[in-house]
Amino acid sequence: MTPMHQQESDQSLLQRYREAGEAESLGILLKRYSLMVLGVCMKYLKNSDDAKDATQQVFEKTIAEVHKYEIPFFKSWIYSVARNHCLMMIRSNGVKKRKTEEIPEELISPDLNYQEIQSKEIAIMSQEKALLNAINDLSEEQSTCINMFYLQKMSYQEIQQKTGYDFQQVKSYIQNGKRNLRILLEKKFRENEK
Amino acid sequence: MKNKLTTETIRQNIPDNSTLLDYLQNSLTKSQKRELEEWITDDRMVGDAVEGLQLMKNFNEINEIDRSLSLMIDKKVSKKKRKILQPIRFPLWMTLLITTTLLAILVGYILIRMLNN
Repeated sequence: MTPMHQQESDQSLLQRYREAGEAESLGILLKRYSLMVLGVCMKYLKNSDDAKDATQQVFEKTIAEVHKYEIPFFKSWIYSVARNHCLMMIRSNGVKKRKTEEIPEELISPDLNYQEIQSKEIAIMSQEKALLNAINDLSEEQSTCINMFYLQKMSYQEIQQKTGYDFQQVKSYIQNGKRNLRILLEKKFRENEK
Repeated sequence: MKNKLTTETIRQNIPDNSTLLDYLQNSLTKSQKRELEEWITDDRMVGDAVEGLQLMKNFNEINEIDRSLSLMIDKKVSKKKRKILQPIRFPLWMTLLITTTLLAILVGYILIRMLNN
């Protein structure tokens, strides 16, 4: 395993594996994502043993099946595999501590094309002026977190200390706040066009 | 410590494991932390992953799981390597038997054709 291999992009490593059968490239790629996938599984399963098992199963599945699919963007693909695997575990009662009623809404929703969402969000963020006006229309929690994070440049930890929210709440208020801002701005632009 | 996350981290499109662990242990610089938190906010996978890792809190446990995952990956991948790269080798007697059988069939076919003509 060379340092050069370590610096290769995901797609290049994947290509090496698929075309030249270099299994070590796949190893580098999977190790690159080990904590990311573990974290995603932990978020949904809420138990470190279950998350560890799920991560192993996701990697086993990836090793067994990666050659079967056209994967234009490995990160999105493995994220989908990990989320779907956790969903399957929850649904099949493999995770006893979690009932199906508790499945987060975003896990069920099919919108996995987050590159598209991201690019839309980036475009919207450039409309700074309209954005500032729209922030005031958000809920108090979202408005506070968005203000602190984007305008006052505070860290998550500082926001947690100031507001008393936990990490998940801060992240959620900022992410949902951004999404609601998009909706508000789109509505506003549509009204302006009329 | 550098002020910005490494180019390597950015090129890979995900934060590397050491950056994630440093963040969880609050040992990134202010600008690195800012950069990662913008990433957490904008990128669903990174956001979900950090949220999940935050729930674990015990860094030794995270390190331990990461090590065992690495071992598992090495083991599985090396098996895959053997599967992919191992050439099919027939014993000599089988090669000779197959070759002789094929030759006999070919000669027989030619003889039958000649006799028919």
